[in-house]
Amino acid sequence: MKPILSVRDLTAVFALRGGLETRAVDGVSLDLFPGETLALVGESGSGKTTLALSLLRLIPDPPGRIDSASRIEFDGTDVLRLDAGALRRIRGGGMAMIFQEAGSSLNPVMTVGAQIAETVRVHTGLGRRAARGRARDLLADVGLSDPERLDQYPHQLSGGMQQRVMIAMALAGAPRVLIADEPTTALDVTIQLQVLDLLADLQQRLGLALLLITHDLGVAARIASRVAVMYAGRIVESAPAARVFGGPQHPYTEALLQAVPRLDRPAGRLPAIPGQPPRASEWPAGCRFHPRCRHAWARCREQEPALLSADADHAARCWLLAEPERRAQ
Amino acid sequence: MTRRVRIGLAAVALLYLIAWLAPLLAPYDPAAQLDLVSGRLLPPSLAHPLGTDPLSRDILSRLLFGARFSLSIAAVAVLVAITVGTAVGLVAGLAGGLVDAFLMRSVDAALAIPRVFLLIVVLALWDTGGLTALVLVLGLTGWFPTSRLVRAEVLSLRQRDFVLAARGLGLPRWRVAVRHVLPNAVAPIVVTATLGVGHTILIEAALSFLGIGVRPPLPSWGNMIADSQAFLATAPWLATVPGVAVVATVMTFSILGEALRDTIDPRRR
Amino acid sequence: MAGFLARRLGAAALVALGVATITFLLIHLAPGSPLAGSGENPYVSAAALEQMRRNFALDQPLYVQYLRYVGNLLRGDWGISFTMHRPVLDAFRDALPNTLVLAAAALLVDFLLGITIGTLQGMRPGSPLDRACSGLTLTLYSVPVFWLGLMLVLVFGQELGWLPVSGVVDPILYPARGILGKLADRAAHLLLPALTLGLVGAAATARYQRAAVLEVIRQDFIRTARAKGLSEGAVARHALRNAILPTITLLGLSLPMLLSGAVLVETVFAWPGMGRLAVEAIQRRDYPVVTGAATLVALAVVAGNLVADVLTRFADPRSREPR
Repeated sequence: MKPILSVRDLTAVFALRGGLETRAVDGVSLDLFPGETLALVGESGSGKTTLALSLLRLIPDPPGRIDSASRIEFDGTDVLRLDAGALRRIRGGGMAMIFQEAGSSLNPVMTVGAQIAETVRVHTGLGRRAARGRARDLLADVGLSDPERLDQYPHQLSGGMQQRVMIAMALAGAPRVLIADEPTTALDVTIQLQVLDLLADLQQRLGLALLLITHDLGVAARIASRVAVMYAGRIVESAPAARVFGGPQHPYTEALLQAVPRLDRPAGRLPAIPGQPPRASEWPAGCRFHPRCRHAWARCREQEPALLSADADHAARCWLLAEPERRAQ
Repeated sequence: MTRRVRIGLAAVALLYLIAWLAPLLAPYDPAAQLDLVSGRLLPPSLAHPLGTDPLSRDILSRLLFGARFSLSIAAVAVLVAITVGTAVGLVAGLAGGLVDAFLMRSVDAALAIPRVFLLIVVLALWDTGGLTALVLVLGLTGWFPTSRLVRAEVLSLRQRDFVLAARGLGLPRWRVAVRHVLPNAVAPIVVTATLGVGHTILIEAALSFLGIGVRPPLPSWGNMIADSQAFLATAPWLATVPGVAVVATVMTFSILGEALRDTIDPRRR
Repeated sequence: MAGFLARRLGAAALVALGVATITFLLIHLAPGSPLAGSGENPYVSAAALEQMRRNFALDQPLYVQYLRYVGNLLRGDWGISFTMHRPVLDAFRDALPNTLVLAAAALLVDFLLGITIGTLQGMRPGSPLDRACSGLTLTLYSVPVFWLGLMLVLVFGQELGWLPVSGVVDPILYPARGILGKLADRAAHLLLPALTLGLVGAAATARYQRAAVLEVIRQDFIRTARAKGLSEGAVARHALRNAILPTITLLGLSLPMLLSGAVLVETVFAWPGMGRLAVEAIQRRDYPVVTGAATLVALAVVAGNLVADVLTRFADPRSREPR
């Protein structure tokens, strides 16, 4: 099966004051297949949001730009080479995106119905009335079936409902790929589950490919079929979900999992990863994780590993895969 | 101190220097009617670089002295405005309660009245004339924004730790206000003052144009423009020159004011 | 909405009363009695003086005078003009429409130009267009409005001869024209004064609008609009719907500034409106007219605030929520 979204060597460069440049996303490659949920996991500063925004070319230029060696292929078309008109058709029509803070991502002075209907009109040829009807249907799909919702303003809705509206709006153009950037982070835990289940349900029903961006492993575990872990602008591990949670290969992933409190382990101090994630202007030399890694040796300091295969569909960017005997105890 | 600020400061300093040195720089006495027979409304020439006015007075000299009047009037008026505004703002912010409410409602009401109109009415009713009245009235109608600003500063700083610490040490409120709160408010006050000078120059020009600001025979750019109206056809430079002077001067203060505002803004909020 | 309006009108009435009070105090606290200057005033006849004495009841205690003053205002007796020998309100009735027309036209120029330029600038900050416009607005903002008027008279009236420069209509040709001709004549006479008054206002509006648009464009929902596949024009509309709110409030509040500017513009263009009336009255020490004008201006300001309030309520759904 061919991937519906194929990213190769995506590099996003930001110009800072004083002529410096940083690469928030540095040579990332990934594939997204129809019908699957890929979770992109990473801490803040890892570059995951920049990656998501790059897919639809939403990075403001200046100060950011996408390196010309990058390729983003959606359904066979290189997104980076599209002209403005074609790009607009893909945005919302081929790939759609939902954001973390739904409240501030909706226009406060337009009704919810108007905003969804607008998206419908842009991507289909429907007239006003038909678009409004479609908006009502979309809202029902996401669980907001009360017709009064159409004429309400964003500030009149709760956080969970606002996120549902965002989802409805994202689906208005019948996209094949849905990019969800931390869709549940700003919500209460119980609402988080509801929204996640909604996403999973919609994905199944509509056959979407879902790229879920999150820092929360629990969220990833709940609905992802594959997981990619990002650190310091690079993918450091990529595998089916069960493998990542059952047998992580990269020390960073390991450490992340160990830091998650679990009910079946005796309560004690949670192991934290020493140090801080590096800033984009200060990527360490060699393996970018080495300053915080308990296994690190000379090779890690000098040479950055490529993505090495542990298995057919499991890869990790770590020298331990080449020299497993170096693993510290 | 960015480059823009430095250039702005230099320009303003230059303006005031020119104004101060007007008696030295002016080729003629601005009140001297040099040649009523054949020296009226002369176009620009070597002897009179900007020409002469309907009473054969040298325009360049009048322009320079006009600068003197306008710039000093504006400076003093703004000084008055800042002083009163700061005082009121401090009192309102520190006292709180009814005093604060009363003061701020009054400021709101006063701000609702168009300043120029108020000035026209007041200056016309109190006909004693004189520049002192002009300066005072300009200043006393211009303190409202400053008071709001200072009050806002006071309110935001009141709860900060270092203020509470000072109060905890038993320092009286006014002392806390002056030593601790005020220094933080200086920057926005300076911005308001700078922009205020520009505004005041425009207002004074308007008042002088109407005949109730700087009155003839004293030269002001405003009244020079008023005098020029009758001769627009025959001597257009009469009207153009003072206006350009006003525009250039006000622009200088605006540019400086905005440059100053830019330096304090991103650093703070 | 009705309750809101009622409360606002009540507040407005209070403010109007407040201003009338201030005006009253100003007159009576000025050195000498309100009629002091009129004794030597060659324009004032003995009969008018007597009328004023009776109206103002100057021998009565201050509070009585105040009550009579307010009573008179409410009854529509705003006094008799010293110099025109007619009731003040009559004179206003003739002059006010002219000023309103001028103000409305200027407001239109202000609004259209200011919002367009400001929005264009805000959507493309830092571009050559933005910088050029910023320079333009900065210059306009520093121009004395009366001088701008004179310069426009110089260029368009005198040198080019395209437009008339004084009065509301052509005194000679107007009566003979047909409907269309009359309208054209009025429009031609209105053009320069309205442009003068509106341009300076437009500069301020553009700068304000630019900042508002910049503020809005940074917000998340603009990113969403782009992510939805909207064209830049549609994105601009999203931005504008939000950015226009503070500007609308500003416009409502700009009525006072317009009136101040009108005073100057009417003088330059010999426009027979309230402004010119007030200025002439001041120069002739015609106190009833001056105080009447001040009161009227106060009412206009109050009305402007009210309009701004209502517009904001109407335009921003968030402000409608009960707190």
